[in-house]
Amino acid sequence: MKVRRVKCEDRRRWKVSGLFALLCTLHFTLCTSPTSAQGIRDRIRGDRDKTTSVNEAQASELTLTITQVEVRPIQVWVRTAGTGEGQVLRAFVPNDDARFIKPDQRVRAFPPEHRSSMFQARVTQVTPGPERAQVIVTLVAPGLKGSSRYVLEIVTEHGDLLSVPNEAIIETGDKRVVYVQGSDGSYAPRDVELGVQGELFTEVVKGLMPGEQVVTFGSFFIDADHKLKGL
Amino acid sequence: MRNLIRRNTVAGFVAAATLATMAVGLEAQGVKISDPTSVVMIVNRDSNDIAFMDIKTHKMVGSVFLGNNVNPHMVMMSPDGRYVVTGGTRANKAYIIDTKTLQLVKVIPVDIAPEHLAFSPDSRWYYQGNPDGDSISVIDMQSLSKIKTIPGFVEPLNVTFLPDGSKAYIGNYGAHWVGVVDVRRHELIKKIQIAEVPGVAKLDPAKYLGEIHGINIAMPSPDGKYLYAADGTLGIVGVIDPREDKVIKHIRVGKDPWRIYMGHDGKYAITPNNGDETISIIDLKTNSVAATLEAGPNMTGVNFAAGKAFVISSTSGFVYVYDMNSLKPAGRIKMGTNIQLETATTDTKEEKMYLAESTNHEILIIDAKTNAVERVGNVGLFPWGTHIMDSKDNYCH
Repeated sequence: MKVRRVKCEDRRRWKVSGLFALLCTLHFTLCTSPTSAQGIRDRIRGDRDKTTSVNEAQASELTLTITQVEVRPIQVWVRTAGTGEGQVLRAFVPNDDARFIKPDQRVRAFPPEHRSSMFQARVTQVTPGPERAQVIVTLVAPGLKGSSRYVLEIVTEHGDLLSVPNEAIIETGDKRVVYVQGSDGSYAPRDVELGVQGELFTEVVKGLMPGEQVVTFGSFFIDADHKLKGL
Repeated sequence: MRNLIRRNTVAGFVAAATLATMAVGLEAQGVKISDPTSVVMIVNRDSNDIAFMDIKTHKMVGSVFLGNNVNPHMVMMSPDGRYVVTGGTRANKAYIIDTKTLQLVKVIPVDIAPEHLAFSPDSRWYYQGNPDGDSISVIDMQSLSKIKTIPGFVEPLNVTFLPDGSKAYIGNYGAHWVGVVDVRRHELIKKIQIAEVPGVAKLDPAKYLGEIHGINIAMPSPDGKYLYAADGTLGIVGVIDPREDKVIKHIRVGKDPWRIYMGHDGKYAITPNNGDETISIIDLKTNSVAATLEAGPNMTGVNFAAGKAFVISSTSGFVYVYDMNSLKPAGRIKMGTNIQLETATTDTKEEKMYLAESTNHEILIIDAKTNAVERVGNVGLFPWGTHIMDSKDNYCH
């Protein structure tokens, strides 16, 4: 009796093993046949949403921040080193950057040994050269005693341009992508073409319209979620 | 031919209309301040506005009304010069003004009783301290929205950022520690205890811990190597090394130091000690007291210009002057009688100071070289503080 029962269980085991083998074969067949596997997956999932949604709690956790695409003034701070005696400093700037430097522009000057001290200055002269332009900067007040070297930040204005915050832009390979908020509150990626990159904002040449809302703080997480979904 | 004339006429009309629209557009834009460094900003507590005075002419350029019962406390311009911001203490809101047009562009609800504030060096973040809410509100200057409220402080007064913008330090006036905030995550990551509270405090906490005059500000030295935090109750200044966020030295100063003010040349710092009406001059090289000098009552600020320190004694009507080379008193300037002096800012040329005087609703302009005083009246009701972009003496009380 005892032996028969064992045999019976063995038979069942064989039956189960056979079924398992069949399932494995089926699974293997499906997995090694991408087209049909994708077909099944698509049937199971139905039409997949091409956007990412975030609920209120998640948005709060991610400190998700949305900013409007709009025309705003763009500043570029040209950074260079200046040396000189007294209040007059001389610096050299590549011609590409020097195009936007003009007399009377505001300059923030920092002595390297006094990192917390900022001295206000103005551009007083720009002399173009073959590769670099010479920029003369004058400190508004006497600088730090004994200091002849300064890190200069020349505040150049590039005018009012259609722009998004720098943080909204995600670089993926050669592409620049921003996540745009849809009317239903979901987020979809959009390729953009960029122009002038400022301190806080970057010009958008193509891909966005004024008034659209883009994700800034938290865009990385939206992008990660988007990629996880394989969209 | 007729068609051509018609086309030309239409084109002319279109061009004229475009030009007219552009002209109207420019007028509508109403640029009031083209150079953000050209104005002194004045916080008018009781008229609930921020007023703007031209530095050269001392004439009022305009003002921005914030709303009824706002009580703005401190004003500051963003490092890029684009915005002027203030916290409305009674309204529990932050106000953002466009510098060019003097338009109020955004009002953002924050926590309870916002007072002092600071910008990150890149203009990206505006940290608003809320002393009654025991929190810091983080405002994103790209989206002009509040993205976070950092809790866990005790009456946070002033915020300072490291020059690289990586960390912010928060002075807790209701405690004896400085809060360190990671600016990437906007999270309180460390509490730096400035010193141990005396053992006697534990025996009678109500007496010794009830009215704490803690830390007003953790002020970076001009070289950015250390932060200095004065503790009122303990009568000391703690020197913090920001690399490890540890107190490396204690400097005993006078009684009840209000806070520390940094000299512009990086040699000395001053604590006005309201407990014994003195000032302590600290040598920043040796981290020791170089001189203790007599001063006045209820000191609210210290400004530096022309090799001198100007200490504001709010209720006496005097500004006490000290020679910062000899470290000796250099007289005092009588600003008036029965007046209340508030705080001042120094211009970037370090020639003049703009002191708010709230009783007569005026700004007192002090010539740092001659000590001469010029008065500008009717700036608004109860001027509480002043601010100039890039000034080394921008503070509040």
